[in-house]
Amino acid sequence: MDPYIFIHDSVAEISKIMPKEVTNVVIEQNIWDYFCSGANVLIAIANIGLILYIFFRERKSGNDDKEKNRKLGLLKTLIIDYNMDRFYKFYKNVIESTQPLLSEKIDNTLKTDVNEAILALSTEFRQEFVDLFLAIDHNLYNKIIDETDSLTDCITKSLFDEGINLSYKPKFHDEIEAKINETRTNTLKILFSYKGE
Amino acid sequence: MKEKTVINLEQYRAKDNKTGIISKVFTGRDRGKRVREESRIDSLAQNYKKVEIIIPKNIYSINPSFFEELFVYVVLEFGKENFLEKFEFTSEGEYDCNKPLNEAIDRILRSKTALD
Repeated sequence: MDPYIFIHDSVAEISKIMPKEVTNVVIEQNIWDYFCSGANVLIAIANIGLILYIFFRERKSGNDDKEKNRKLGLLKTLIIDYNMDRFYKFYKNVIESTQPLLSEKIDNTLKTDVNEAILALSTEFRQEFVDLFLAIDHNLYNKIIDETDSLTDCITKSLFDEGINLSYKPKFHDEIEAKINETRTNTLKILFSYKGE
Repeated sequence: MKEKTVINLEQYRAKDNKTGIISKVFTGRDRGKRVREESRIDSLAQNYKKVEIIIPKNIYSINPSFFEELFVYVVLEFGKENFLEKFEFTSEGEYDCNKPLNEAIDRILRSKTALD
Protein backbone atom coordinates (compact mmCIF):
# COMPACT_ATOMS: atom_id res chain seq x y z
CA MET A 1 0.00 0.00 0.00
CA ASP A 2 1.17 3.41 -0.84
CA PRO A 3 2.37 4.89 2.50
CA TYR A 4 0.99 8.32 1.67
CA ILE A 5 -2.45 7.00 0.96
CA PHE A 6 -2.17 5.05 4.23
CA ILE A 7 -1.32 8.17 6.18
CA HIS A 8 -4.08 10.20 4.53
CA ASP A 9 -6.67 7.56 5.19
CA SER A 10 -5.43 7.14 8.73
CA VAL A 11 -5.71 10.86 9.45
CA ALA A 12 -9.22 10.92 7.98
CA GLU A 13 -10.25 7.99 10.14
CA ILE A 14 -8.67 9.44 13.22
CA SER A 15 -10.49 12.72 12.77
CA LYS A 16 -13.78 10.85 12.49
CA ILE A 17 -13.26 9.12 15.77
CA MET A 18 -11.85 12.10 17.66
CA PRO A 19 -14.21 12.92 20.52
CA LYS A 20 -15.89 16.31 20.62
CA GLU A 21 -14.23 17.12 23.98
CA VAL A 22 -10.90 17.14 22.20
CA THR A 23 -12.21 19.75 19.81
CA ASN A 24 -13.58 21.74 22.74
CA VAL A 25 -10.23 21.56 24.52
CA VAL A 26 -8.61 22.95 21.42
CA ILE A 27 -11.05 25.94 21.47
CA GLU A 28 -10.44 26.63 25.19
CA GLN A 29 -6.70 26.61 24.67
CA ASN A 30 -7.08 29.33 22.03
CA ILE A 31 -9.04 31.57 24.43
CA TRP A 32 -6.38 31.10 27.10
CA ASP A 33 -3.73 32.06 24.58
CA TYR A 34 -5.57 35.26 23.77
CA PHE A 35 -5.88 36.08 27.45
CA CYS A 36 -2.16 35.50 28.06
CA SER A 37 -1.22 37.55 25.06
CA GLY A 38 -3.46 40.40 26.21
CA ALA A 39 -2.02 40.26 29.70
CA ASN A 40 1.51 40.38 28.31
CA VAL A 41 0.65 43.46 26.29
CA LEU A 42 -0.84 45.18 29.32
CA ILE A 43 2.21 44.31 31.45
CA ALA A 44 4.50 45.66 28.73
CA ILE A 45 2.52 48.92 28.56
CA ALA A 46 2.60 49.21 32.34
CA ASN A 47 6.37 48.66 32.34
CA ILE A 48 6.87 51.36 29.73
CA GLY A 49 4.68 53.71 31.76
CA LEU A 50 6.64 52.96 34.92
CA ILE A 51 9.96 53.53 33.20
CA LEU A 52 8.77 56.87 31.82
CA TYR A 53 7.44 57.92 35.23
CA ILE A 54 10.74 57.05 36.94
CA PHE A 55 12.71 58.85 34.21
CA PHE A 56 10.77 62.11 34.48
CA ARG A 57 10.68 61.99 38.27
CA GLU A 58 14.43 61.45 38.49
CA ARG A 59 15.03 64.25 36.03
CA LYS A 60 12.85 66.65 38.06
CA SER A 61 14.53 65.52 41.26
CA GLY A 62 17.91 66.20 39.72
CA ASN A 63 16.86 69.69 38.68
CA ASP A 64 15.46 70.38 42.16
CA ASP A 65 18.72 69.27 43.77
CA LYS A 66 20.68 71.54 41.46
CA GLU A 67 18.49 74.50 42.45
CA LYS A 68 18.87 73.73 46.17
CA ASN A 69 22.63 73.51 45.85
CA ARG A 70 22.69 76.74 43.89
CA LYS A 71 20.75 78.56 46.62
CA LEU A 72 22.96 77.16 49.36
CA GLY A 73 26.06 78.19 47.44
CA LEU A 74 24.73 81.72 46.91
CA LEU A 75 23.74 82.00 50.57
CA LYS A 76 27.27 81.16 51.64
CA THR A 77 29.25 83.19 49.14
CA LEU A 78 27.01 86.26 48.85
CA ILE A 79 25.79 86.62 52.41
CA ILE A 80 27.28 84.42 55.13
CA ASP A 81 30.96 84.79 54.25
CA TYR A 82 30.82 88.58 54.25
CA ASN A 83 28.21 89.43 56.85
CA MET A 84 28.37 87.17 59.87
CA ASP A 85 30.32 89.81 61.77
CA ARG A 86 27.23 92.04 61.54
CA PHE A 87 25.16 89.25 63.06
CA TYR A 88 27.41 88.91 66.11
CA LYS A 89 27.84 92.68 66.40
CA PHE A 90 24.06 93.15 66.64
CA TYR A 91 23.71 90.82 69.59
CA LYS A 92 26.77 92.28 71.31
CA ASN A 93 25.32 95.78 70.91
CA VAL A 94 21.92 94.71 72.24
CA ILE A 95 23.57 93.27 75.35
CA GLU A 96 25.54 96.46 75.86
CA SER A 97 22.43 98.62 75.39
CA THR A 98 20.61 96.80 78.16
CA GLN A 99 23.40 97.09 80.76
CA PRO A 100 22.17 100.47 82.15
CA LEU A 101 19.11 98.60 83.43
CA LEU A 102 21.28 96.98 86.08
CA SER A 103 21.67 100.34 87.82
CA GLU A 104 19.45 100.86 90.83
CA LYS A 105 17.50 103.77 89.52
CA ILE A 106 15.35 102.70 86.62
CA ASP A 107 12.75 105.20 85.57
CA ASN A 108 10.57 105.47 82.48
CA THR A 109 13.05 107.78 80.81
CA LEU A 110 15.82 105.18 81.08
CA LYS A 111 13.48 102.42 79.93
CA THR A 112 12.41 104.51 76.94
CA ASP A 113 16.04 105.25 76.04
CA VAL A 114 16.99 101.56 76.21
CA ASN A 115 13.92 100.54 74.22
CA GLU A 116 14.60 103.09 71.48
CA ALA A 117 18.25 102.05 71.30
CA ILE A 118 17.28 98.42 70.83
CA LEU A 119 14.68 99.23 68.18
CA ALA A 120 17.25 101.34 66.34
CA LEU A 121 19.76 98.47 66.48
CA SER A 122 17.06 96.14 65.18
CA THR A 123 16.34 98.45 62.25
CA GLU A 124 20.02 98.66 61.39
CA PHE A 125 20.36 94.86 61.68
CA ARG A 126 17.39 94.39 59.38
CA GLN A 127 18.80 96.76 56.77
CA GLU A 128 22.37 95.43 56.86
CA PHE A 129 21.85 91.72 57.42
CA VAL A 130 18.32 90.38 57.36
CA ASP A 131 17.20 92.09 54.14
CA LEU A 132 20.01 90.32 52.27
CA PHE A 133 18.12 87.05 52.63
CA LEU A 134 15.28 88.45 50.53
CA ALA A 135 17.57 87.89 47.55
CA ILE A 136 17.88 84.18 48.31
CA ASP A 137 14.71 82.95 49.95
CA HIS A 138 11.69 84.88 51.22
CA ASN A 139 10.78 82.23 53.78
CA LEU A 140 14.27 82.35 55.23
CA TYR A 141 13.98 86.13 55.54
CA ASN A 142 10.61 85.77 57.32
CA LYS A 143 12.00 83.29 59.83
CA ILE A 144 14.95 85.52 60.71
CA ILE A 145 12.90 88.71 60.98
CA ASP A 146 10.31 86.91 63.13
CA GLU A 147 13.05 85.73 65.46
CA THR A 148 14.54 89.24 65.72
CA ASP A 149 11.10 90.76 66.36
CA SER A 150 10.48 88.16 69.02
CA LEU A 151 13.57 89.44 70.83
CA THR A 152 12.77 93.15 70.57
CA ASP A 153 9.11 92.63 71.48
CA CYS A 154 10.07 90.55 74.50
CA ILE A 155 12.53 93.17 75.73
CA THR A 156 9.96 95.95 75.18
CA LYS A 157 7.29 94.09 77.17
CA SER A 158 9.71 93.33 80.00
CA LEU A 159 10.89 96.92 80.14
CA PHE A 160 7.41 98.36 80.60
CA ASP A 161 5.96 95.63 82.77
CA GLU A 162 5.70 97.21 86.21
CA GLY A 163 5.78 93.80 87.83
CA ILE A 164 9.33 93.12 86.63
CA ASN A 165 12.33 94.63 88.41
CA LEU A 166 15.13 94.48 85.88
CA SER A 167 17.70 96.03 88.21
CA TYR A 168 17.58 92.73 90.14
CA LYS A 169 20.27 90.75 88.38
CA PRO A 170 18.63 87.30 88.31
CA LYS A 171 15.49 88.85 86.87
CA PHE A 172 17.56 90.78 84.34
CA HIS A 173 19.23 87.52 83.35
CA ASP A 174 15.90 85.69 82.94
CA GLU A 175 14.06 88.44 81.08
CA ILE A 176 16.83 89.99 79.00
CA GLU A 177 20.12 88.08 78.76
CA ALA A 178 18.57 84.64 78.37
CA LYS A 179 16.26 85.90 75.64
CA ILE A 180 19.15 87.52 73.75
CA ASN A 181 21.18 84.31 73.89
CA GLU A 182 18.20 82.20 72.91
CA THR A 183 17.40 84.37 69.89
CA ARG A 184 21.00 84.33 68.72
CA THR A 185 21.09 80.53 68.93
CA ASN A 186 17.71 80.14 67.23
CA THR A 187 18.77 82.37 64.36
CA LEU A 188 21.95 80.34 63.90
CA LYS A 189 19.82 77.19 63.88
CA ILE A 190 17.64 78.69 61.16
CA LEU A 191 20.71 79.44 59.05
CA PHE A 192 22.26 76.05 59.72
CA SER A 193 19.12 74.12 58.88
CA TYR A 194 18.49 75.94 55.61
CA LYS A 195 18.65 73.42 52.79
CA GLY A 196 17.88 75.57 49.82
CA GLU A 197 14.23 74.57 49.66
CA MET B 1 -16.56 108.35 49.89
CA LYS B 2 -17.09 109.62 53.42
CA GLU B 3 -14.81 112.22 54.96
CA LYS B 4 -13.09 110.84 58.05
CA THR B 5 -13.13 108.02 60.57
CA VAL B 6 -11.23 107.44 63.79
CA ILE B 7 -9.58 104.36 65.24
CA ASN B 8 -8.62 104.77 68.88
CA LEU B 9 -6.01 102.23 69.91
CA GLU B 10 -7.16 102.63 73.53
CA GLN B 11 -9.89 100.04 72.96
CA TYR B 12 -7.35 97.55 71.65
CA ARG B 13 -4.86 97.64 74.50
CA ALA B 14 -3.89 94.26 75.86
CA LYS B 15 -5.08 93.54 79.37
CA ASP B 16 -3.74 90.96 81.79
CA ASN B 17 -6.71 88.86 82.82
CA LYS B 18 -5.23 87.99 86.22
CA THR B 19 -3.90 91.33 87.37
CA GLY B 20 -6.10 93.62 85.29
CA ILE B 21 -3.04 95.62 84.32
CA ILE B 22 -3.41 97.32 80.97
CA SER B 23 -0.43 97.10 78.69
CA LYS B 24 1.64 100.17 77.93
CA VAL B 25 2.98 98.81 74.69
CA PHE B 26 1.74 97.43 71.40
CA THR B 27 3.93 94.61 70.15
CA GLY B 28 3.76 91.52 68.00
CA ARG B 29 2.25 90.49 64.71
CA ASP B 30 -0.54 88.55 66.40
CA ARG B 31 -1.70 91.69 68.16
CA GLY B 32 -1.40 93.74 64.98
CA LYS B 33 -3.45 91.22 63.06
CA ARG B 34 -6.12 91.14 65.73
CA VAL B 35 -6.44 94.92 65.77
CA ARG B 36 -6.54 94.98 61.96
CA GLU B 37 -9.42 92.52 61.95
CA GLU B 38 -11.35 93.99 64.86
CA SER B 39 -11.04 97.57 63.68
CA ARG B 40 -11.77 96.63 60.03
CA ILE B 41 -9.11 99.10 59.05
CA ASP B 42 -8.76 97.75 55.51
CA SER B 43 -12.43 98.35 54.81
CA LEU B 44 -12.40 101.77 56.48
CA ALA B 45 -9.46 102.80 54.32
CA GLN B 46 -11.49 101.98 51.22
CA ASN B 47 -14.55 103.90 52.37
CA TYR B 48 -13.08 107.01 54.00
CA LYS B 49 -10.84 109.76 52.69
CA LYS B 50 -9.04 110.09 56.01
CA VAL B 51 -8.42 107.65 58.83
CA GLU B 52 -7.19 109.03 62.13
CA ILE B 53 -5.30 106.69 64.44
CA ILE B 54 -5.33 107.86 68.04
CA ILE B 55 -2.46 106.73 70.22
CA PRO B 56 -3.58 106.80 73.83
CA LYS B 57 -1.77 108.25 76.81
CA ASN B 58 0.65 106.10 78.75
CA ILE B 59 1.87 104.29 75.68
CA TYR B 60 5.62 103.84 75.71
CA SER B 61 6.24 101.77 72.62
CA ILE B 62 4.51 100.59 69.48
CA ASN B 63 6.89 98.15 67.84
CA PRO B 64 7.36 97.71 64.09
CA SER B 65 6.06 94.13 64.26
CA PHE B 66 2.67 95.43 65.43
CA PHE B 67 2.45 98.20 62.83
CA GLU B 68 3.66 95.91 60.07
CA GLU B 69 0.80 93.48 60.54
CA LEU B 70 -1.77 96.23 61.24
CA PHE B 71 -1.04 98.20 58.08
CA VAL B 72 0.25 95.51 55.72
CA TYR B 73 -2.68 95.55 53.31
CA VAL B 74 -3.34 99.29 53.30
CA VAL B 75 0.33 100.09 52.66
CA LEU B 76 0.43 97.60 49.80
CA GLU B 77 -2.83 98.98 48.46
CA PHE B 78 -2.03 102.68 48.62
CA GLY B 79 1.77 102.89 48.63
CA LYS B 80 3.79 104.86 51.15
CA GLU B 81 2.89 108.40 50.07
CA ASN B 82 -0.84 107.86 49.73
CA PHE B 83 -0.92 105.86 52.94
CA LEU B 84 0.73 108.70 54.88
CA GLU B 85 -1.65 111.15 53.28
CA LYS B 86 -4.70 109.11 54.16
CA PHE B 87 -3.70 108.08 57.68
CA GLU B 88 -3.20 110.65 60.42
CA PHE B 89 -1.58 109.77 63.73
CA THR B 90 -2.56 111.67 66.83
CA SER B 91 -0.81 110.99 70.11
CA GLU B 92 -2.69 111.87 73.27
CA GLY B 93 0.49 111.44 75.29
CA GLU B 94 4.13 112.00 74.51
CA TYR B 95 4.82 108.96 72.40
CA ASP B 96 6.05 109.58 68.88
CA CYS B 97 5.33 106.65 66.58
CA ASN B 98 7.14 107.92 63.48
CA LYS B 99 10.22 105.72 63.69
CA PRO B 100 8.50 102.36 64.18
CA LEU B 101 5.84 103.36 61.65
CA ASN B 102 8.43 104.14 58.99
CA GLU B 103 10.30 100.93 59.80
CA ALA B 104 7.08 98.97 59.35
CA ILE B 105 6.29 100.66 56.03
CA ASP B 106 9.83 99.99 54.77
CA ARG B 107 9.55 96.32 55.69
CA ILE B 108 6.20 95.93 53.97
CA LEU B 109 7.38 97.55 50.77
CA ARG B 110 10.77 95.83 50.88
CA SER B 111 9.12 92.41 51.05
CA LYS B 112 6.85 93.34 48.18
CA THR B 113 9.80 94.45 46.03
CA ALA B 114 11.62 91.20 46.73
CA LEU B 115 8.61 89.16 45.63
CA ASP B 116 8.04 91.10 42.40
